Amino acid sequence: MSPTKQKATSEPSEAELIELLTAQNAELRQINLEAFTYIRSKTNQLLNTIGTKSLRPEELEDSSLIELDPIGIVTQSFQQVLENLRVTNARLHLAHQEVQAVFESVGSAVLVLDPQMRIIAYNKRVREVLLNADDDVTGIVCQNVVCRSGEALQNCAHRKVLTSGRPELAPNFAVNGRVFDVIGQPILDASGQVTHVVLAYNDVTEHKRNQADLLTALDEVRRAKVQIDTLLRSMSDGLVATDGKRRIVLMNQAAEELLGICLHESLGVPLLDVVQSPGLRAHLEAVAKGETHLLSDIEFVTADGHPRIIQARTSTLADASAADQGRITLLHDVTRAREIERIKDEFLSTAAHQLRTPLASVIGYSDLLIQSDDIGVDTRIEYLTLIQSKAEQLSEIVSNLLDISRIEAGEGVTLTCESQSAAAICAEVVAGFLHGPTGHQFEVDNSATDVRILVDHFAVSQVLENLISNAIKYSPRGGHIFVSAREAEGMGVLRVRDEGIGMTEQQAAQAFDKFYRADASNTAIAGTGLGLTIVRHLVEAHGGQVSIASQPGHGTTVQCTFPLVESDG
Amino acid sequence: MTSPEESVLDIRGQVCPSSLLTTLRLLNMNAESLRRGEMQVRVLTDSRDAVVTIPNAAANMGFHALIEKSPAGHYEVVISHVAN
Repeated sequence: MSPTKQKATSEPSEAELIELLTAQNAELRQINLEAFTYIRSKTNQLLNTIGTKSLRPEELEDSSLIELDPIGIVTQSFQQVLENLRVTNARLHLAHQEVQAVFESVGSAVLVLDPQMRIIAYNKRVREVLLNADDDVTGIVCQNVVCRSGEALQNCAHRKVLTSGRPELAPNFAVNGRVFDVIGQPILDASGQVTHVVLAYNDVTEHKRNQADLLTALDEVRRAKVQIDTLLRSMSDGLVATDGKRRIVLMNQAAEELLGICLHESLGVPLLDVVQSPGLRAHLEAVAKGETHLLSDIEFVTADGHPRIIQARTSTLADASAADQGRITLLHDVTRAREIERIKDEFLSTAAHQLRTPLASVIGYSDLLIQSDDIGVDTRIEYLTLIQSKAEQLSEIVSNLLDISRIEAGEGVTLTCESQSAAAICAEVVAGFLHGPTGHQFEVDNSATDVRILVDHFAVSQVLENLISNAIKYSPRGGHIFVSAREAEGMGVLRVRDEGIGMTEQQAAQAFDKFYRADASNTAIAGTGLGLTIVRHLVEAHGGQVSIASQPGHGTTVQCTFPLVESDG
Repeated sequence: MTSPEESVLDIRGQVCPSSLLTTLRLLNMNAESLRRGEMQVRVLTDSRDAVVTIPNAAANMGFHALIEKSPAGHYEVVISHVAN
């Protein structure tokens, strides 16, 4: 810059010099002003860039502007900002890579959609499980390639997220034979508007299948439990289960009634704490000492005061994983069985005696016949008659035993029912007894000759023979025996009445029991204790009923009913 | 971890942008210590504009700014490093 031009030939005057200096000074001031104006404008530009106001001249004088060096400060700050941006960008890049890695490696298929349902991004799982084509689907509306059905759109996670602005779940989305739970997640802008929706498709096919299997298994377990409960309830035997510490874990109703305790109140209580019966306590203590599969007969008195015999059997629930598991105690009521055993023992004793007595006669008289040469014809016939009589007695005993064993074996009674005259059968059977050695008198009531019953002739004859035979046995020689046939209450009624020793009420109640004899000690009266049992089976096989009316010393009346023949009219 | 050293800048009475420039100068001078978490800057200001501009500028530089209202009536802007 050259503000003035000096003349080489002459020195300027003082006035000229002052004028020159003044002009130069003014020029410098202008330059200075322009420079500060420039600095101030650039400073303001920088300040505005970083988001603040412009410097006001009165706030900062030109001299202070240089001293404060706002450009230096802001420039240095920009360096910091740029460094921060660089670090932030590096982090963002890393984060982007991480997100991309997660996006691609995550087990779920992930779709990113814009609000118009256009696909912005998707991972490879989408192609594997949702799409049927290898083409790039970016920019395509997702319902054209994923849902493809109106039904799926009803439960659209994208739509739900757009509506609510919150994460949403659309369960049970089915496509390509698989089932997905779709989780929709919104991406919001600064104003809270949904800019994108991320849909994650979680494959729950196996889970659903397992869930269904589990429900089926659960259902089976429930049904099995019901079956077991029903089984336990139906069991006539009492059952008590204990755990390894002998605490009650299960008990059925029969056990509750026998022990007089309730499972609800005794669950988890040691069994020995609630069992009162000394016999059962002794049994349980013996088991506790290590006796396995112990079987004990225990006398019980039930709550209603009846004595019972219970067979207790305790087994250990052995398990490979534990040496000492729980136990199961079964309480089986053997009262009746023991009673039968007792009666059988008595019967065997009686039967043996009865078989032995006629056999002794048969053997004795036949020996006499063989060994004696001088026996007269009359005596020989008498002996042979006796042998025949005893053999018939033996035959009756054996026949009764066979009958009852056939009935017991479940073969039942085979009947050939035909229309029969009740009076005729009575007369026929009575005729067989008329000239017996006991001299009993028979009275047959003929007032009902017209009663016709639909029966098996042989079976009804057997019934009457048994009843008349009993009447003879249990009434004095020469006594009267009344036999009648009538019609009452739509049934044919056959009745045999004697005037014998009679029975007590209890004896009458047990008279039909197998092997029962009212007075077993009186072995003078021949019998097996099976006659009335056979009678009852035969009568009931016809659909009839048999009953006894008796009093000690006043004779016995046995009444049987049989079906009538249906009249044509 | 020890508490960072605190540098207090009292610019009460100053308005923007000089209060911002003063703060930026202090931040520039102590940028490294701030980034390492060895110090923090507490700016006392009564300019409402500064309460906006200072935290924004600090955030752009990668710092964390916390604004506290003092019972005395002024604002205190605490600038520290960003916890990772």
